[in-house]
Amino acid sequence: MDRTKDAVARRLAESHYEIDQSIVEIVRLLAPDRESDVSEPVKLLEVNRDTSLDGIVPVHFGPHAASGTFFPSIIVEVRPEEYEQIQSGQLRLPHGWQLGPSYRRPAVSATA
Amino acid sequence: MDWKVAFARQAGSDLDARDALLDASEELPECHQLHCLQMACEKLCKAYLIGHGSDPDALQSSHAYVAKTLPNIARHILSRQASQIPHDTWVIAAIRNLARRIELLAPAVRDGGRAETNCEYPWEKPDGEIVAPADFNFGLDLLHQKAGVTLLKVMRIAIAELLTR
Repeated sequence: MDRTKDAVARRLAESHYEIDQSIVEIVRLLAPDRESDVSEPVKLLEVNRDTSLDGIVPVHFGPHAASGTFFPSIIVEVRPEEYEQIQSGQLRLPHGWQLGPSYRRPAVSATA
Repeated sequence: MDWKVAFARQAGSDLDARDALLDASEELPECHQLHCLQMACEKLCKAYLIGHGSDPDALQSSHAYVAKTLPNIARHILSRQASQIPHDTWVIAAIRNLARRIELLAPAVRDGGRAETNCEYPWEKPDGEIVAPADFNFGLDLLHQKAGVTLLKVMRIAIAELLTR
């Protein structure tokens, strides 16, 4: 199993897409200058049409090697309109986090 | 013990108290076990919101964390428990609905003034009737819904993970 942070982020995103059909998009969040640190969590911004409009609320999880999550992780769930505000700069991400690559919903779960 | 673990410890104790209330008497009004459930959910969510070095005081003043955070925790845990608990796609949607209803059990959460019902204090209905929580049917029986049972299992797993970290 690929133990890199990129692979862990992708696995997390795919597993969340698999069980939550209300996720519209998942975007990696990157911490400039710290992202390569082992202690820096994998961070995902999950755009979800069913979540509440409460702004940016990071939820912290520990590593879980048994499922291939070899790093701590942070999941931030926002509504599509909040994601637009983040993209336009109206809503700021904490800790200087920046938007990274986006993960598409796996084709298999999209047709399940 | 750090703040994160302490919140998880207390959430577990609240859930234990709920179990004890359910075991003790079927005649006891459901508001009491629901109060324990609401407190357990709130503390569990706060435990997961406390990052390394975060000040928990910022989280103490609000009860409105459950609807947003509990489904996030449930999805994360269910996504890696493939063989142990159901992770059908409908479960997360059902847990999201339950989480919103549980959050509204706290008297401080009024849903923009629309929700008067809560599991602690009496309220006045629009027709002037005063209602005690002990006499109210909340219609929130987790043990007889698949999503409810799953949510309780997820909460126990989430608490255990924080306590053993």
